[in-house]
Amino acid sequence: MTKQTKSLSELDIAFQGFKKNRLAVGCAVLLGLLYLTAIFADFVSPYSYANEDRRYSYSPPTAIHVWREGRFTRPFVYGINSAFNDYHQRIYQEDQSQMFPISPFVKGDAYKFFGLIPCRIHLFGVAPEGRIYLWGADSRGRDLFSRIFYGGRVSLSIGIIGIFISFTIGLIVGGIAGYYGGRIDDILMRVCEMFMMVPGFYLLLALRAAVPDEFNSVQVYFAIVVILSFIGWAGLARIIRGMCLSLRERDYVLAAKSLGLSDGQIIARHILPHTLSYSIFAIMLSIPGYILGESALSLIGLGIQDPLASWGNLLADAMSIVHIKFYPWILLPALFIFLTVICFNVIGDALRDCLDPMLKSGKGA
Amino acid sequence: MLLELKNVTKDYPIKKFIFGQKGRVRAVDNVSLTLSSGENLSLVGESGCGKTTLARIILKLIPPTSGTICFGGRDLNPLSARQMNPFRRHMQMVFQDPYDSLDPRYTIRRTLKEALHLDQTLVKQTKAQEERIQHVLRSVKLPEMMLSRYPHELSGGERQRVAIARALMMNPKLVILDEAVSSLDVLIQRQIIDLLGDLQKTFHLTYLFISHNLKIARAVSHQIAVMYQGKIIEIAPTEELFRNPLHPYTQELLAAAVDYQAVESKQHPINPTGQLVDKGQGHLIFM
Ligand SMILES: Nc1ncnc2c1ncn2[C@@H]1O[C@H](COP(=O)(O)OP(=O)(O)O)[C@@H](O)[C@H]1O
Ligand SMILES: [Mg+2]
Repeated sequence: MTKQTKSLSELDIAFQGFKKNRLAVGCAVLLGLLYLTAIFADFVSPYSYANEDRRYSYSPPTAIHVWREGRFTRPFVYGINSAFNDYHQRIYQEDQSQMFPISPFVKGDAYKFFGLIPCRIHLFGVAPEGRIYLWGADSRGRDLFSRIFYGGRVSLSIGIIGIFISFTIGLIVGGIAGYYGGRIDDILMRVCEMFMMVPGFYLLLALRAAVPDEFNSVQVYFAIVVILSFIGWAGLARIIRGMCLSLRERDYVLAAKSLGLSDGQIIARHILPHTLSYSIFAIMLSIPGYILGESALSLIGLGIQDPLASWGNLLADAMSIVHIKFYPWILLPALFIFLTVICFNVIGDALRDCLDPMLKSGKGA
Repeated sequence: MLLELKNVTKDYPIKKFIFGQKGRVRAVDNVSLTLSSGENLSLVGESGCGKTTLARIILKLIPPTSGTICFGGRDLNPLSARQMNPFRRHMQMVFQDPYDSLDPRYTIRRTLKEALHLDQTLVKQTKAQEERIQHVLRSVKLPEMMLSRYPHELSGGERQRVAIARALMMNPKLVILDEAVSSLDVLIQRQIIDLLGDLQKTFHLTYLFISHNLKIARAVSHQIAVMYQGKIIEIAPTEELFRNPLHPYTQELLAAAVDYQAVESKQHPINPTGQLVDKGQGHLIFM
C-alpha cells in the first residue's frame, strides 16, 4: 500500500486533479493578477481615476521609445502636440523636442494605500509636464490604463461580495427547506420561484429605480450589490435544497441524529459541507453574472457614476459606433470583462470535472 | 425489561403523482416485541418487510403512526428531542451500508469524537476523550493509525468496525445492528460476528440483530423474530425455531438457508384479523 503519506480528504484529491488542468491553472493565475491589480490599483496606475486633462481628449496610446540618436536609452515618451484636421477632429503628433523618460516609483497623484496610509508613489510614470497614456485616453483626457484598474476594483469586488451575500442566504434557505422538507420546504420554494419568475434584468431595473437619487457613490455601490444578490440567491437556494433533500436520507445523517446532535448541528456539520463541492463551482459560474449585471447597469448609466470608474461605465463611451471607429482603445474594458468571465467559467468547469466523480459515486471514491 | 414495543405501526404516505391524492403504505404493522438485557433478538425477513423502518422507530429517528416504545420502562413517544438525549446514549445503531454511514469528510477520529458529544463528563476533557477513543478503537481491533484516515481509505470491514466503535463510544445498553454484516464478504462477516460476541461481553450489550440471513441470526441471537410484510409472523427461541418452524414462511426461509434451489418463492396469505398465538416454550406464531 502506498498509504504511508498523509491522508487526503476528498477536497485535497479534487485540488490535485485541478492542478493537472493547465488551462484552468492559467486562468486562476490570470484572475489572481487581475485581482491584485485591482487591489493595488492606485499604485499600479500612473494617474488617479479622476486625473483629467482635456487637451488630450481621446489621445491614442502613447508610443514608448527606447532608441534615440542611434543608441538605446531607457524607455521614454515624447510630448504630444495636437492639431485639428479638415473635419475638425483632433489629431495628435509626437513633439520630438520634448522627451520624458519613464521612471519607476515616481511621485504622482496622492492616494491612501489600503485607504489608510497616505502615499504618492506610483509604479511608473513620467514627469508631470508630459502625459503617458499606455492604452489611450477617454473623452476628458483621463488615462484608460489607470481607469481600467480602478474600474476593476468595482467590477471584481461586486462579484465577490454579491456571491457572498446571496450564497449565505441560499445556503440557509436551501438548507432549511431541504432538511425539514414538507410544509416549510413548500413555502420557501414558492418564495424562491417568485424571485426566479421575474426576468432578471427587469427586476434589476425595477429595484434600481427604488434606490433614492441622493445616494452617494459608495451607497450606490452597495445598493447594486444588494440588488444583484437579491436576484441571485433564489436559484442557489433551490439547488442547495435539492441536494439537502437527498443528503438528509444518508445514513451518516441518521447516525448523527441517533447520537443526539441537534438539527442545526446536523445541517451545519453533515449536510451543508457536502454541498461544498457543488457550491465552489456554482460560485465560480455565478460570479460572472454579478460582474455582467453591474456592467449592464453602469453601461446604461444606472450604476457607478462618473468620475468613479467601473468596467461597465467605461464602456458607456463605446456605445457609439463612431467613437469605436476612431478610438478603438475604448473597447479595452470589454476585453477585461470578457477575460474575467472566461476565467471564472473555465475554473468553474475544471472544478466540476474534478469534483464530479466524487459527487456521482456519492460515497467518496 | 430493556425494550418493549407495543402495537407499533408505521404508515408511509405516498403521494400519487398526478392528482396528488395521498395513499399510504404500511411498512410496520402492529408489532409487539420485548427485549431483556443480555438476550439478543434477531429480526429476520426478506428485504422490504419493514425491518429498517422498525429499527428507526425504536431509535425515534422517525415517529411511529401508532403504538408505544418503552425503554427501561419509560415511554419514549412523548419525549422532546432534548428529553430524548439521555436515552440516546443507551441505544445506538450500526447501519446497513458502511459506505454510507460514515461522513466522508470526517476523519475517523472526528467521527468517534463526535459520538462523545452527549457525554457531559467528558466535555472539554480532550485527554479523557482521546483515551476513550483509543480504548474503543482497540476493542474493535483497529490500529491507531486509522484515526487520521478518511472513510474512503478504509475497506468495508474496517468501516463497519468504525461504525461499531462509534455506536460503543457512549457505552450503550442496546445496539441495533441493521444488516450490519450483509454487505461484507463471508470471511469478513465471520470476523465481525466474532467481534460482536466479544464486545457483548466486555461492554455488557444487548443486540437487536436485523438480518435476512437465518444462519447468521442463529450465531448471534437467543431469540428470533420472523417478519413478513410488516408483521411479526413467528417468534421463538433460536434453537426451538430451527427445530420446529411452524409458519410456512419460516419453513421456506429455513429451506432456503440450507439449499436455495429447493425453494420456490410463494405468496403467503396473511390473515388480516390474525394474532400471535402462544404454542408453549416461548414459541409464538401468527395465525
Ligand atoms: N421513506 C419512505 N417513504 C415511503 N416508503 C418507505 C420509506 N422507507 C421505506 N418505505 C417502504 O417501507 C417498506 C419497508 O422498508 P424497510 O423498512 O426499508 O424494509 P427492510 O429494511 O426490511 O428492507 C418498503 O416497502 C419500503 O418501500
Ligand atoms: Mg433495510
